[in-house]
Amino acid sequence: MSSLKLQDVRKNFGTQTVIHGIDLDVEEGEFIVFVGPSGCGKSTMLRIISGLDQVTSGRIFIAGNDVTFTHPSKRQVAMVFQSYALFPHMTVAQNIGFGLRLAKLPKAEIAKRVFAAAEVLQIEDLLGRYPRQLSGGQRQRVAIGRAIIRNPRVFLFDEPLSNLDAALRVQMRLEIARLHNRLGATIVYVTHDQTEAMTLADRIVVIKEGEIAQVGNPLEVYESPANKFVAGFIGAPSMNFLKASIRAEGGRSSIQLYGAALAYLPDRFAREYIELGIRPEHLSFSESSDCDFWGVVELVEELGSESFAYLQTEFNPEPVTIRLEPNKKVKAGDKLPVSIDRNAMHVFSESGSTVAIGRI
Amino acid sequence: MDRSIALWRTVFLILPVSVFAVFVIWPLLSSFYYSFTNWNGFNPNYDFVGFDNFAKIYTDRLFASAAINTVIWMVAAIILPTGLGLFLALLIDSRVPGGTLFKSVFYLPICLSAVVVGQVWVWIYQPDWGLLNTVLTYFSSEKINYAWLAKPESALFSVIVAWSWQQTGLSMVIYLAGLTAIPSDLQEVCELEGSSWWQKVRLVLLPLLAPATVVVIALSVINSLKGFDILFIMTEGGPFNSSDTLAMHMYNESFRKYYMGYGSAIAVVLFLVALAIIWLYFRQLRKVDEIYS
Repeated sequence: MSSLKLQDVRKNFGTQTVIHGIDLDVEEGEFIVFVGPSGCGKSTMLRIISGLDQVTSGRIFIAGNDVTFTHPSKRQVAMVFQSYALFPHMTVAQNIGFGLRLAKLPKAEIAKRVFAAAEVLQIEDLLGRYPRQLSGGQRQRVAIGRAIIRNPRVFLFDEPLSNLDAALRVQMRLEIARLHNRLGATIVYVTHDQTEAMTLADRIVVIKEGEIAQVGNPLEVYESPANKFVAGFIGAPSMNFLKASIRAEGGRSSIQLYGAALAYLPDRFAREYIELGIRPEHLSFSESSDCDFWGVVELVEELGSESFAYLQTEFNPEPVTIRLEPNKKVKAGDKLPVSIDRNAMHVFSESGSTVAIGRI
Repeated sequence: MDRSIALWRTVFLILPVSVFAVFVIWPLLSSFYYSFTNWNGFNPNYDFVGFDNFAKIYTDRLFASAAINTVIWMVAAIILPTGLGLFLALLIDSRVPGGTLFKSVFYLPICLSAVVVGQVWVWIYQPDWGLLNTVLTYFSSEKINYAWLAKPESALFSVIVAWSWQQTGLSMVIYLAGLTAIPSDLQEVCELEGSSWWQKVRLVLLPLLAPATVVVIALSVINSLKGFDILFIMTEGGPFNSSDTLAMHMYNESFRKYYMGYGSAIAVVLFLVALAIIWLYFRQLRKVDEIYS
């Protein structure tokens, strides 16, 4: 039995449709990440699951029960907000135990459970403090504590790390992953940060304009993107897209890049142009002039562990990004030959859907 | 360039500062000055009497009754407009149908001058054909013609009701602004955690509305200390000084009995009380700011 099931969920705001019929099964204990650009509807999906927003049509099941019209507090979900949503006038202990206080549990019971939740998050020392006396990371832990204490069937995280600085984000990411392993809970997590999605998720749900663009485990989504949108969204730096032309040759078509046949498509292709998708790590500088194209180095980005160069080419208006091999030194203005790894090319039709992946 | 900007700033500031100095600072200082004299308001000759006027306050029975009435007025001002304003704001914030219309209707009285409000309520309280007695008569077996404003036991409270009716709109607007400032996700946490409406109000909204409450109470108290115009229209402090407040008493002593020196001493006392309240207000506001920042 799935922990969470979305069945043709649609949501309109007035005449504007923001969710266009989403179907999804989430297994018990699975860590699902909704990822997509701002305004794609991922947070709306989370609010619909929580019950804070109502569906326009479709059904939502949690642990097999239809909760489509169930009050948020009865859905057995707990939500962690982007802003943490801590009550400023309550101490950490009061914030964590808020739900239990509403349920009128005995004070001793509340204190015991609050302490247990605080222990899990290692914030026992902070129980008497107010939110204003906490750092961003500590506030986040308190918000998670308030979710844990309810023993929900599904945890909902709405961009919980976006207000933290880069270092703290990495640390909290690790802690959330640990928490998931420890609790074994089902988690639905929303983010626009694809690194968070890749590192945390069992499965990633890429959303574009209120529709699922692809569902899959992180490597699947990275290596076999269903379309140009997913290919461009997942991966940093982004995949390169190169316009290429098609030439019919007998019963098959060849992909022409920069005037040379780069590869052959198995069938005769009825299109004139396609787009080649190549990740920066699948481009390399050739040792000889026997290459696929030439590029002039515009900018070199040294990130410490790896480096990227941005190349100007004659055939592509956008710069082409290439990951530099270790110890490879280039500088702005260098004109260098570039080769494409034929085993890692993605071919997209003009509509953006994937035609072929890898060696063709 | 910088000097000419500074000059223009000074020129533009001179006008409001002059108006403030002539109509606020100068009368204020004059009141302090005259509170130590026996000036009658007309005669150019007067004597300095030291603290005599302030000593007289202690023996003035009318001052005592006016002070008690002012305290009653102040307490009522804290309870009635604050409570009603909060209740209406919560009701409108819970998205009742026609909320915007109600908001406008409840706010309307604050746009009217106290003279208009006073006169409307004089008609409402009119013994023979006033709205209140007409409604009471409808529910009663006999004709009611109670003179609300002419009886010492009901005059003050009748004026307080009229005043509260006017002030409630102001409290409501301040509370509505306070409710708008509460992040929606805090209210959503209440929903997710399963709080009842009353639990949400008691445990979350009321504490979070503390900054608004400080403003509402401070405004109500300061306005109640100034409570004069509506009283003047409705009862003139009567009958038998039963609705006399300190502001009214100050007016009577200064402009009816021509004890300008004594009236100024009452004004100084009122000013100091208001100053103390404003100091308390800022202190509370700072505390509240610390909690919610």
